[in-house]
Amino acid sequence: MGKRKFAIPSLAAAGFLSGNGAAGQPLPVLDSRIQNIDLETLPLLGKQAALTHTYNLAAHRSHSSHRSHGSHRSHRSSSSPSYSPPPSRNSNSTPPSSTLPGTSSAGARNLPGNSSKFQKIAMQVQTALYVQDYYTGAIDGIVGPETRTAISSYQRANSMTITGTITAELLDALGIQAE
Amino acid sequence: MIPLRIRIDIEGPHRGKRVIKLVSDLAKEVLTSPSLTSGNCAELVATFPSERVFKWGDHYIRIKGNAEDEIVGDVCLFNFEKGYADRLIRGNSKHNTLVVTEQCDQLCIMCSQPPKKTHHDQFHELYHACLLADSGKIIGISGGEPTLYKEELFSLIKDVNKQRPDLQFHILTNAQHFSVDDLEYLKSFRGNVLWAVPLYAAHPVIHDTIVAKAGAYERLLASLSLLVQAGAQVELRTVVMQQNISELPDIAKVIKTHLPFIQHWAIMQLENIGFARNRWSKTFFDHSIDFSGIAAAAAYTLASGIETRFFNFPLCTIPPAWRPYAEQTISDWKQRFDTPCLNCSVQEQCGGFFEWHPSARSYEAWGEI
Amino acid sequence: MITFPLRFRELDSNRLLFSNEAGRSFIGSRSFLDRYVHDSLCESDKAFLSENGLAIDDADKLGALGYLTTLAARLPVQKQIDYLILVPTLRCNLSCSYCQVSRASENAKGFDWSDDTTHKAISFLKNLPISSHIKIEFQGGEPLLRTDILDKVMREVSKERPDSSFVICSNLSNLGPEQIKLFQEYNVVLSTSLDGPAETHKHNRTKNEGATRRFLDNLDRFRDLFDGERISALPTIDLTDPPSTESLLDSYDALGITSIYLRPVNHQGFARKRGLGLDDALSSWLDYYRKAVDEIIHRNSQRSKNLLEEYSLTLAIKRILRPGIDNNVDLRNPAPLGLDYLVIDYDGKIYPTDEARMLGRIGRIDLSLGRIGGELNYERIRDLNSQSFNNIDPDCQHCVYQPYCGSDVVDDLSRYGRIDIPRHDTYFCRRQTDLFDLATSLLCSKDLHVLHSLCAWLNLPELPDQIIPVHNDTA
Repeated sequence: MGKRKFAIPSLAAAGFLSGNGAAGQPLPVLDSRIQNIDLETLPLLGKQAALTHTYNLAAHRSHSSHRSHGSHRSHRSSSSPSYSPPPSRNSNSTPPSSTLPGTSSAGARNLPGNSSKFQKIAMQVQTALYVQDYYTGAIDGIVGPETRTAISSYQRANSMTITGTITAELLDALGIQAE
Repeated sequence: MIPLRIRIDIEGPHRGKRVIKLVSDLAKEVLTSPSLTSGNCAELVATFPSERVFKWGDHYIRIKGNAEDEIVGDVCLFNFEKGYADRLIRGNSKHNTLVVTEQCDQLCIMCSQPPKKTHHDQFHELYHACLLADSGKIIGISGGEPTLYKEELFSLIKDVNKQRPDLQFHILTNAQHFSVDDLEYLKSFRGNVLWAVPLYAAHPVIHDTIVAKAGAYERLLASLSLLVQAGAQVELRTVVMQQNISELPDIAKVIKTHLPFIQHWAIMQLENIGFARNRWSKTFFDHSIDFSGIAAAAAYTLASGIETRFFNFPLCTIPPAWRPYAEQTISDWKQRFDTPCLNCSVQEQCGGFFEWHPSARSYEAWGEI
Repeated sequence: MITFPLRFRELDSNRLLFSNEAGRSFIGSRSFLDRYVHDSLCESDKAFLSENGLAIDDADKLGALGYLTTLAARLPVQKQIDYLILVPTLRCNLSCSYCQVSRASENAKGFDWSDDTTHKAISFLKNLPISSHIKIEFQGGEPLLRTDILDKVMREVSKERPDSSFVICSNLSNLGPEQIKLFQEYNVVLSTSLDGPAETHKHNRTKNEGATRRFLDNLDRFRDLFDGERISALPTIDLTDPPSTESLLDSYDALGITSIYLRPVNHQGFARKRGLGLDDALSSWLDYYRKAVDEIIHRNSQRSKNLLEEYSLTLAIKRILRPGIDNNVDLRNPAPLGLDYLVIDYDGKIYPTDEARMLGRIGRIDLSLGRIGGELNYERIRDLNSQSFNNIDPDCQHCVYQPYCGSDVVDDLSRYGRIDIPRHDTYFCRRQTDLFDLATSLLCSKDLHVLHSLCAWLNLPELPDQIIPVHNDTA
């Protein structure tokens, strides 16, 4: 196919400066007197403007509404932007003063507690599920993956909320007294 | 009010402190968050009306309290000896603030949390807590003045972001301590940190008086220069008081001419706690009686394209046209709604009142919408 | 003290609008101008300039940075390509008197994307370097003649880029189950032409009673099926026989469409052959336009909601007041070509703008940037962009509106065959200057009806005391 002829043969013929010429022109014509400001900042400022604000404002920015047909619609959103509010200076969670990292060390006294009581409950649950053929593992009171799977299956079969954990509902269903 | 400290109970020899995340299904969560391990996570195994049981390694931890409180997903600092845990980063909340120090070099007349003399370094625990945070979390950092421990603070952000680039920090600072040497740090934090900086007046003397520090205004402006040069994200905050209500129009002008780079301007109402509690009658400005100064200033910045929002302004106390600009900002755990609020049609969108507000009646004009 | 260089333009016998390169502006008097040009500003002048960021103290570093930030915000940053206009077919089932694209007739052969073009276009869209969603606009011809291609493109793009948005520009002559299905399945907005009252629409576009009825019925049907947010419409005004501004606005009010983008016939395609959209028609367009804006303000004065706006006027006003409003390709500076959006024509050729493809079709100039599946002509992209901004144009440099205005080298090429011409003689400059004159006079107005409309256009709860600062000098 022959090359098509155009009335304006090239950009150069239309007054464009071809090649590298004008592309290298500085854009803004800054007052020379403010050049004592570190001009390195200018591109940086440009970059800053370009940063997609990772924070809250992103949601607010109207969709880049380009031109033409139908693209000019989203520019007037009346709804308020979804901000993530600033944290408050005030905090009840101010950590207490004594700070010693680290965990167990020898000689520490036993804390009062009754997690052994929970272990007993867990064993009762395992037993009940074992009897009903949901659980085949050891009756050890340790709620591991196997126990959780068994609980889930039982909950599903009995139309209960499926949590994979021991709940009051589960204990009721299995007839186990919690306290 | 949501409890930030919870009672715990564990059997066996444990002492000291430990950062632990409460999860529902460790095996599943490890798939998406490889930093979670059985050592730093406790997995929910049982729920009862007044307590929940978590499995941590080979131990069970019982957590007391109403099972309605959503604690699964929280990163907590456990204090085994004292039998409690502080919920540092709550999974279900947008309001998480880590207090890095209670010292401060300013003594603002309305400070909600007056500074203390001593500093208890907890950066190590906070670092571990951040690593366990849910993906994409915004973590608030506050004080005191966090930049008094600038080196530790910068290391915390740098180290956390190296491992968790998905996390964002929202850091409240009086911007009195930034120097040219910090530029590289500030640049590298550009995408991950929003600096929340208070400016109380457009005139140095008034600002300095409010923060009780001579030269604070000049120092603040110098720091803001550094922040913009670094391309940092800045939130400008102005707490409205009797002392600076007439300053608002001039602050608005300064924002347009000197601070057009800010992400937004937060105009905030006072909290009735700390110093402000005793000075309430001399500081609190009741905008429900006269909103015109605030409106004029906000109209000026908004017209110029600068995002402007009201924080801690109950919806019923401001003119209807301005309500879309009021953010629901009072942190969930210190939010309160009074009786008339219960029938209010906009309670869901409203920040409500501060838990410790003497009563909503501090506002002359308020009530159900 | 540094005073940033000011440009100015007379508003009336004593008031002038001043602005600097960052677009910071104010209203001043003739005597202020005298003092400014004679370098003899008084103290109150200096205080005013300083307070409004038009001058800064030598030591005010933050002030300088603030100024630079504003300046930088007015120069949009080069982005990645995230917006595409696709022309899957040039065929159309209408034959509008002013058709800009010289459409092909409905049964013509060889005016559609081939399977190969479709395949390559989809792969191009999927592999764009931008990581997030994109926006795709289907134009034509009548794109709904090829629901199969539209469906394929939207399905594939949505798979890769889930939040992408789509616009189908259709004349809505045909809205059958196939067409409706597209709107149900994807996040698509319908954009259609509505030239005003039925009579005008018929005259310009649909030609006969039956087709006009069908269009209006389809429009109603679409509104019943989808919510108002999914539809936009815009008129093309043929000045040889324009509808009255009242009847034009009535037709939009009836549809509940509040944002109207008034455009004269484009000097392209069939319109060009008929001599429409020529420079000498400009003054009658400007008269018509101002009359329409007056009518909008009048209508708004009687309402508290659903206020109308003219889109390009709102854009001009926002660009005066707010640095960084650069998301409309019709008015921005620099006006990047081939850098952030592209047109893929029916034959697989890629163009920088919709107008550029039309210039190629009439043999005026070849501005194509390549063919889908091949390399883009980066040299041409670079050359086009080397002049596609107004900052160093000798006329623009002295213009008070330069920071708010844009540039349009494609329109210059279309009309004059060159771009190096006195700016004031160009259609683009004359139209924009008038638009900014109008915008400025409204921004300075004390008329309560005008202020009521401005409030809505700027989406503000209330207006500041002075939208553009006024320097009331008594010296």
